[in-house]
Amino acid sequence: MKKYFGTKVRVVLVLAVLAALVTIGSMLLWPGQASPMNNVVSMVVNPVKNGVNILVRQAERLYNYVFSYEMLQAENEQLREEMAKRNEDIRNSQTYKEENERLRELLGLSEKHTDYELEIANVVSWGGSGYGSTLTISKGESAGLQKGMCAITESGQVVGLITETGTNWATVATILDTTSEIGAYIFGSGYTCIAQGTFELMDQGLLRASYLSSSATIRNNDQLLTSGDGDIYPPGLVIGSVTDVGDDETNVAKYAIITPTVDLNAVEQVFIIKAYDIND
Amino acid sequence: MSEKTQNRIKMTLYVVVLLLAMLLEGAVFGAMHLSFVPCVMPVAVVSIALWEGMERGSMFGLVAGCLRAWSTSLSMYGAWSIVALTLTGAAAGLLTERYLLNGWKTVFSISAPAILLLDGVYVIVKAASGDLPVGAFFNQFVPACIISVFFCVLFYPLTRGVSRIGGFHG
Repeated sequence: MKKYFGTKVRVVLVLAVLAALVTIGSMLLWPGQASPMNNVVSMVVNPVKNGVNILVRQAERLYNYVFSYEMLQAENEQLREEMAKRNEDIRNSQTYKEENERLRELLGLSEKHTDYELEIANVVSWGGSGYGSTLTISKGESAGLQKGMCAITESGQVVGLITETGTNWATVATILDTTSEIGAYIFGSGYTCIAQGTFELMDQGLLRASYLSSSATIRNNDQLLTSGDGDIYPPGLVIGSVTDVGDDETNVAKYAIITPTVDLNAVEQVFIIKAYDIND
Repeated sequence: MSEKTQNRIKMTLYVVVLLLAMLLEGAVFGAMHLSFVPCVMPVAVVSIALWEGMERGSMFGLVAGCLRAWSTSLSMYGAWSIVALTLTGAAAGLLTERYLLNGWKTVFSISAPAILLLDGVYVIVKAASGDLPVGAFFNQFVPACIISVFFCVLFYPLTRGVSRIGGFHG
């Protein structure tokens, strides 16, 4: 090494190793919290990332408008027809209304969960690695956020879990991330399962509900809700709906493929549940 | 303008190039929701090292690694980024000073192994620990590497322009 690298370069290499050790050390000392170096760099960089994110979205919208106009027009026509049909169904069918009221009673956040302490945050950027599904939000420790708090949409749909917090930013691992595991149950039948993100399904925007009973009867479009097990996610939050079912590798349990209700690529604002009580 | 001032401007512009690479990785590609994320920071470091030599190449590699590690939640991968990018800058500068001519072929041929060093180790470790399936190597890692190398087309001329401020150093 002495033959190839001069003294200055060797000093820089040693500094690099020290910086790496400091990074690892801070990760071990403050698990789930950003190190001071992370905070300083992120405080400067995150506003710029947010600005770039906005520009990219504007460019995407312009691109879609210019190149997808006809496709959007056709989709708009189709949606209008569907809307008209659905309006007719709603007007004519009493059962839809009763089912709607029943679902509101069971799923309505305002009736069952009256004590959510929520913190609103904007999505600053999406994860910078193709091997995970994370997003960075605009609030952090200064707003009372901590690792382990869950993020939802305004409709009570699960987005993910905070895995790291900085002073004014936080990282949320979405439900598609490979580290995500949520205690859940199939609404209606009550079968419990674990909703997991897997690498194979992450690209498709899907997740897997594992450890379903082998005798479970599961139908497509059955809704998957959080069970509250583990005291991480409050119970009753909507995760997604079933799109496929199969037997797992052991053949003693079933699994279901779940399409999340929330479009994680389009979410721009999340609500962090800082505290909650359940009114049974 | 004195040579010292020109040098400072040049160093600042190189840091801006590194910030551009970081924003591309962290903001632009993320917002595009691609199934793989190109890794362009090594390309930027190699491009700088080719013009500035081994010593400055290693320094900018260190800066790039620290920016990458401390602006994202990459944890152990972030720590590896610091070491890998510093080595990349040092090695790229060394190869150009002693063995290779500075040019398009050199920047492409050094960028490719640099990306393999940075991302490849991460993928291998993750695959070995079972966190990533082997398929990720072909579905994500290989396409990301190929696309990343083509960003030499952006960073090499950019750094060439910056290197002309105050005269070539390396």
